[in-house]
Amino acid sequence: MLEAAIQKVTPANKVARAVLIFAPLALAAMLVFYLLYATQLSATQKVIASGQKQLVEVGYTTLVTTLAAIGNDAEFVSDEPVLQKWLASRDPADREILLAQYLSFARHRALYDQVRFIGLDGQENVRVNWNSGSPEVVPDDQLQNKADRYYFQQTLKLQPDQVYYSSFDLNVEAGAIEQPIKPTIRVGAAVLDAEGRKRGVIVLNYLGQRVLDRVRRLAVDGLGEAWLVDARGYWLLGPSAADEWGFMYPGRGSATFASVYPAAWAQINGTGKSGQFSADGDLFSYAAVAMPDDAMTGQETLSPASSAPNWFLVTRTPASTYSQANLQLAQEYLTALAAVLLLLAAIAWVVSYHGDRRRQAERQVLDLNRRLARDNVALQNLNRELESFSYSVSHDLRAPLRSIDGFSKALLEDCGDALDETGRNYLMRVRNAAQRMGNLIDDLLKLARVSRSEITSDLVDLSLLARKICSDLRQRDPQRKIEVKIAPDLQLRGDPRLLQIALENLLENAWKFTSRRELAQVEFGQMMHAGDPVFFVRDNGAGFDMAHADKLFGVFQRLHAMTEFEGTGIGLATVQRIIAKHGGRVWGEAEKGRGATFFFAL
Amino acid sequence: MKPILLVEDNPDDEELTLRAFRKNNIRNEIVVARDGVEALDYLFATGGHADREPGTPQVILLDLKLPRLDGLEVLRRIRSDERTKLIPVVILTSSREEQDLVDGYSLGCNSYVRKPVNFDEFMEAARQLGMYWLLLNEASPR
Repeated sequence: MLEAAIQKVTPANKVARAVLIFAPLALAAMLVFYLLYATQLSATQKVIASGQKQLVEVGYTTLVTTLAAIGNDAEFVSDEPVLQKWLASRDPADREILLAQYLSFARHRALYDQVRFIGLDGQENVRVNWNSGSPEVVPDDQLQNKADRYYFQQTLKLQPDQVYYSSFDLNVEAGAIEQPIKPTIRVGAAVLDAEGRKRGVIVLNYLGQRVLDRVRRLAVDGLGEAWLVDARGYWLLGPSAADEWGFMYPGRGSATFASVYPAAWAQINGTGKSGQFSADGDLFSYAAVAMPDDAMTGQETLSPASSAPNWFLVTRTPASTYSQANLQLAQEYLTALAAVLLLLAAIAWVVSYHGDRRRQAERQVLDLNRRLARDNVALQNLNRELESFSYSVSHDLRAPLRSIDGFSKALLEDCGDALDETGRNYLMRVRNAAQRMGNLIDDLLKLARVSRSEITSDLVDLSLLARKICSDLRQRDPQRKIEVKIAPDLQLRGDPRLLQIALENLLENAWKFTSRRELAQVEFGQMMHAGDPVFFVRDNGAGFDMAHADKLFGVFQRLHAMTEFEGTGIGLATVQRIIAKHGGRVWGEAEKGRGATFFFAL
Repeated sequence: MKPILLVEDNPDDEELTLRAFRKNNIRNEIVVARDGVEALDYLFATGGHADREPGTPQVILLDLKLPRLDGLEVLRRIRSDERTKLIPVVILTSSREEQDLVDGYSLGCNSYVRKPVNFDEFMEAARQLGMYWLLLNEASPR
């Protein structure tokens, strides 16, 4: 597991990690964008669809209202009192009034190209022409006979309260389609006199271009085209002028809605009054436009117009509109997505990079920990070895010494008489050497124990410790005159056992090196040194040469002859280890023959 | 007079101890066991001591570093057996290792005496031991 965590970081790894972070984020982003796109796309399509529906409704209403209005106009004009009056009187004056009335009607309605009263014989009696917006009365000599025209014949057949609607076609003048074309619906109503006798017909030529224009104008804002198709599938209002009114130009072979969009035509022609559907990817909406209830229609036979739809209002939004909208939408979304992906990539890279650094740091820590653990094990092994070494030293090294000393003593006791003074002196030397080595071993063991002991931290009363140590020392040499001065209440945080050993060594040294003084002085106290409080043990003993101060704390280092002061040379080394273990410092100041002072501060 | 059991593997130490007792006029019989197993054999009258006279020693002087079975283990066996658990045990050893002290007292030794290198001190120790455990101390009646 450790090995896995410490795998090398290569640039490829870094990239792989970045990709690993990036991929799910990117997928999520793409999904979100796709959903947004799909939602908006469907919303757009719904907007188009409902826009179309509305368009068809408005167009339908426009057409139906217009048809009703022109039918009503025909009935209204046929029932005019002024006409009745003139029919009754045949007074030219009344005719003038009638003409004025028709002029006014034509001008203000502004819907009709012609307003006519045609007599039973087919002769136009009264006629007002729209004349491109300046209505004029057609002079009598220009009035024509329309007896052969279907609209006259059919209107004449009407019952009262019926209105005749011609087909929507182009106006023909003198056998030719009038140019510019004049889409026209002729509405007619029979004129009955007061006695109920039929006296002629009113025929209004409705200018159909207006309503066509209104329908055409409805189709705006990319909702496709709005068309008007007649019951046979001809365009009255179509994609282009050439496609319109095909039935008026038998030779032209114009396209028809039915032939261009057969699938759509099958839907429209066969089914209900209105609807919406897709055919060949195009969206179609339509409404069947029927005539008012009282409408009669037909060229050869007269029949109620409401029995079949006359025209179809059709809108078509081509598939290309959709795909264009889709494309635009897709482009917008793709652009946004690209930006987001770039951002995510950047984030992934940054995260990967930082993660990398973190992992590197983690790995270093791991490495360090491993090394520490290893070192720790090594240290523990070393400690164990040292312990067993100390143990053997303690046991096995001392046993022979005891034998040497013991049997020397036994020899002295049992065979002392057989030896001369020199012999006994030699045996004493053997014993002294053995005892000295015993002390050396003891001190070395103490030093070793100090070195490997774990340090604790308690509040230690140094003054109390010093008093106890000095009292023990006094008991050892009751005959000596020693002035001991111990400052009260000196406390310190540290390891009580180790500090005791340190203080013991320092005070024992002071004790030892003042042994030649008449009045020995030993002092333990505290003072300020370079701004910090330090403890000191001072004596008025032998002191030492400061030139050798650097050797004071070395193991086995002695600054005095063995004959002068005994000692193993380990005591100060032990003190130094103890103070160092507390993170402190110990040093000595002295003058040969004038005493020494040892300072320590933790 | 009950004997003293000295458990000591070092013949020099054995000789010096015996000498110290002799010099201090301690007259008790001193039985020497030279390793842990022998010490237990003596105490429980098994092995080489199977046919010894019955009785328990006045005091056991026990070294720690012993062949076959070390002193602490011997002490553990002594203290866990009804027959021997009340016998005073003095650990008499070269070691002054803290751990040995702690282990010794934990297992129920009655004294812990370190053999000094200096034979004069050793003599003094032997004298005091004899004085205390053979004269001053009242042993358990059982």
